[in-house]
Amino acid sequence: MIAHGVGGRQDLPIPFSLAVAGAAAALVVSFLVLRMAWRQPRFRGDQSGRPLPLAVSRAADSSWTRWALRLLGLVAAAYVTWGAVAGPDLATNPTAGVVYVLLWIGIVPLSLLFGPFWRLVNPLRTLHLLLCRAIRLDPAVGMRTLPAGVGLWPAAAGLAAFTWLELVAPDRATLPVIRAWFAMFVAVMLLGAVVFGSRWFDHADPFEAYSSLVARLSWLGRRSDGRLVARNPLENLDGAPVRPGLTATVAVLLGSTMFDSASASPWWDRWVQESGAPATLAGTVGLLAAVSVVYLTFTFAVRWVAALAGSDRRGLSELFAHSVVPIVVGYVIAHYLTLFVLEGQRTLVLLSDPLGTGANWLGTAELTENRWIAGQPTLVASIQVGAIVVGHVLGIVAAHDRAVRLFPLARPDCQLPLLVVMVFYTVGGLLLLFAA
Amino acid sequence: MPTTRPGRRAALVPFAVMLLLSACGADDGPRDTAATDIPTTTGPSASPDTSATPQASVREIEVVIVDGTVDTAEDSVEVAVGEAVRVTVTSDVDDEVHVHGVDQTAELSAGLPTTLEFSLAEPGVYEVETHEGGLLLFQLLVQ
Repeated sequence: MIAHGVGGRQDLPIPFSLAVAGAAAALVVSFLVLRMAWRQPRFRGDQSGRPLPLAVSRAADSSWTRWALRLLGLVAAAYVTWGAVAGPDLATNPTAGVVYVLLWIGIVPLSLLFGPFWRLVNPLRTLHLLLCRAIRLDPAVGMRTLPAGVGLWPAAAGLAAFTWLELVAPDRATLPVIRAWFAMFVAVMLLGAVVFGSRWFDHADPFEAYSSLVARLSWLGRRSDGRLVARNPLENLDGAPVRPGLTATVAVLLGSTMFDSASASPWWDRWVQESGAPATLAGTVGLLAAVSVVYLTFTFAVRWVAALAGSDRRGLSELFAHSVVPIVVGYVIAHYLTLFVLEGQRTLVLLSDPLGTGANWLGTAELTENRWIAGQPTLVASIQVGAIVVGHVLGIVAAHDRAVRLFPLARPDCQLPLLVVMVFYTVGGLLLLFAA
Repeated sequence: MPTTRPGRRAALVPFAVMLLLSACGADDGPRDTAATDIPTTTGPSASPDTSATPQASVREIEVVIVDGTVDTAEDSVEVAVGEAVRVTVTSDVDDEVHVHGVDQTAELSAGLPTTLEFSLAEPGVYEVETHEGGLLLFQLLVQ
């Protein structure tokens, strides 16, 4: 419901026939994968890919490029912070649009195109690096070592905190609320980095975690030997590092998007009103419930798969959690495509005048927004259904390959519970698009 | 069926606050083209059968607000792109009614029916709401 902070119109519900067609397609493909797909693992993760020319690899990895990107991140963050601190708290302030549209939604297309870009531009990483340089410390070395089991759990918590700000927090489109959230966020990130070293960002920064996960569906990857390669996104996804907390991270990403679309619907309104609960409490419970449903259904399904395959390995859900990433990306495209196009343009226009003085510092103030997409509800509905179904297909293919690798001797039907859960996510996504 | 939506109150606060601060206009500046005011020369007697052209038909929607409770015939109203919409709101308190996403706002005086007339040029879902009370009155499904 960020639409209330930054957006105006919302997309029309998708036609029922399209929702049914999408669900049917998802079911058929699931069945085909289960019955006919390969029995030997195909994906080779980070060993795969066709190397880009060495010059490209070297240029991308040169310290000039790295510092240029860091500087870009710092300057952009400083510019936006300036508008957030010194600008007027009006709807013409670009801060909410930058945070909720350009950053949060923009992470997805940019990571698909350029890989895990946020860790290269992350202004907090750069601040920490500069701080360490200034006092001649190695940024990688902190005061303590991060415990081994921490994995992505801090990032999952950070993502939950951000989605709470985006979808639930009272007055979430106003500057004091955004400032307060980011002040706490910056404090936690920098303190963590001082204690645990720059590695903290890999484990705890929600935007890095999001960007790095989505980047696993990019055409661009890095081979085990360090070379930049062009590769099949499914091979890329297969190389996603298995870490504790990965399931929780993807559950937050998928569950929060589900909650966003559910809470924008009239029936959510009615339910909140009948329960008599304060909206913030209802929203918090709803968000937690959506995330918990995804987490519990997924871990339960994986446990069931393991039981059918005769395995008693622990922590198996983290080995399958990468397969939810395409479903997350499908949901994001379906729910935010038009918002991103329309509000993204509006934010670019507003960015030229962060202080509300009539300035045109970036030269974007006079741009005319292209609102063509708002007049194409049929095309938008088709893209929405297509994105959800394609995400589903990529998800089950990724999970299938992982299953035949982990359980080479088991019957292929052992994946049935996981397929059922993914069909549930897909049909749920289509229902939300139909009913919202 | 009458519907009440006090739960909506807090959810809409950020939006309402920003609009109040921006005098309800700045937010929608770039979208002015999305809504067209319909000249009210036809008066309240306008009805579909008084005119041959479909443009002259007006979709009437009545809303009554009492004690923060919204009473309206439908939660979501389907209209065509460009179709004239006439919303009549009667509230028991002073407030302001607003069509979210377009530049359409009108003052509400306690007890007096207020009419907003407009048409929407872009398909989509638009929420009609009050600022002070933060109530969602109904949704417009423009197709």
